[in-house]
Amino acid sequence: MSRATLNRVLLGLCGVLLLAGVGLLLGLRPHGQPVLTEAQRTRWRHESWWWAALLAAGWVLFVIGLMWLWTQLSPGRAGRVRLPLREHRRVQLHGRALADALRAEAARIPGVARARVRVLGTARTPRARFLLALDPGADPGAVLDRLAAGPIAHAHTTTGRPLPAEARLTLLAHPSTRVT
Amino acid sequence: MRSRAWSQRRTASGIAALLLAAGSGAVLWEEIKVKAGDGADRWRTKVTDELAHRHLDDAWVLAGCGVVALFGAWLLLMAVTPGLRHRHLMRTDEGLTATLDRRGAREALRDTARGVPGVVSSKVRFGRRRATVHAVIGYGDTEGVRQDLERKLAARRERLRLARPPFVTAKVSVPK
Repeated sequence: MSRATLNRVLLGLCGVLLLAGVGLLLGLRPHGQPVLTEAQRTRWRHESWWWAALLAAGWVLFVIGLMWLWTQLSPGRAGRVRLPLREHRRVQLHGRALADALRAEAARIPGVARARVRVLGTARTPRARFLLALDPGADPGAVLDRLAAGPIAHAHTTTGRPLPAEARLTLLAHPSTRVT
Repeated sequence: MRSRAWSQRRTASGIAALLLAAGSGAVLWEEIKVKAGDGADRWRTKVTDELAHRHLDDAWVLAGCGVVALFGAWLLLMAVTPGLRHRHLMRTDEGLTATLDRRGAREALRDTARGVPGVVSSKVRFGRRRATVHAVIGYGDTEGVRQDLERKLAARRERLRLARPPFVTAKVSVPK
């Protein structure tokens, strides 16, 4: 499951649980009662499973929270990219080397003023992210065609596997902007 | 085909995950301490005390519920909306996802308007559904310049290759 899907599922779950909790607390209980009555607080205190259940729930939520947090923090850059076996030898490419090659080629596309590239994902499932700043007159559509036919296609031939890519484009402002 | 780019929602998830880990971690810590025979921390006693004495129609309880409900609603909103409102998804082939940011799209239309003979200045408002180009015509036949502007804007809009291109309107004015 991708990070986007995971995040949205967990966010939705948290949102629904919080809203439902507030709704249950305010909607179902008589308003004169304390938030947590003595009877509710001590109901299962002497059951042997109560403490274990509380502890287990605490651990599970704690671990889920940490892992979820960890997923957000990791930059997700691929350190290495694994190439298909060549003569039964394992060949690996530094993610940064691949990114540099992609960047150099992307920067040569007509209309591209600046290019930044990152190779993300894992060694077996790498993907590329291009940040491209285009000259004011450039055609984003044409640049995309050349990006697909150039760097992305070449990476496919070199590494032997398709390289899914994301491109974020912007157009730079004209240097000699007329004052409006 | 999708028409919007979808955000990964890293910030909202980070906040929610941090609160979840901190909250459950604190409760867990307390449970273990109490079970090990140490006394409960002051905050724990205080919270339990407050929960036992404050009634459901107490202002603080209602305010707390309001904050929690708002946070829950925000999380739900983050979960179901695409986000990335300033980035326009482009039409691409399989394996490539591309977006053009709003500033860039605005710049493209402004650049086009400026290239039309007769237009001396222009201002562009670029939205998700529509873009409006306000052009000031300095010389030439007003109607002819307007038609030229519209034609060039329409062509440029196509070449931006947006998945859902906004409707482009040209408004011209002649300074008196």
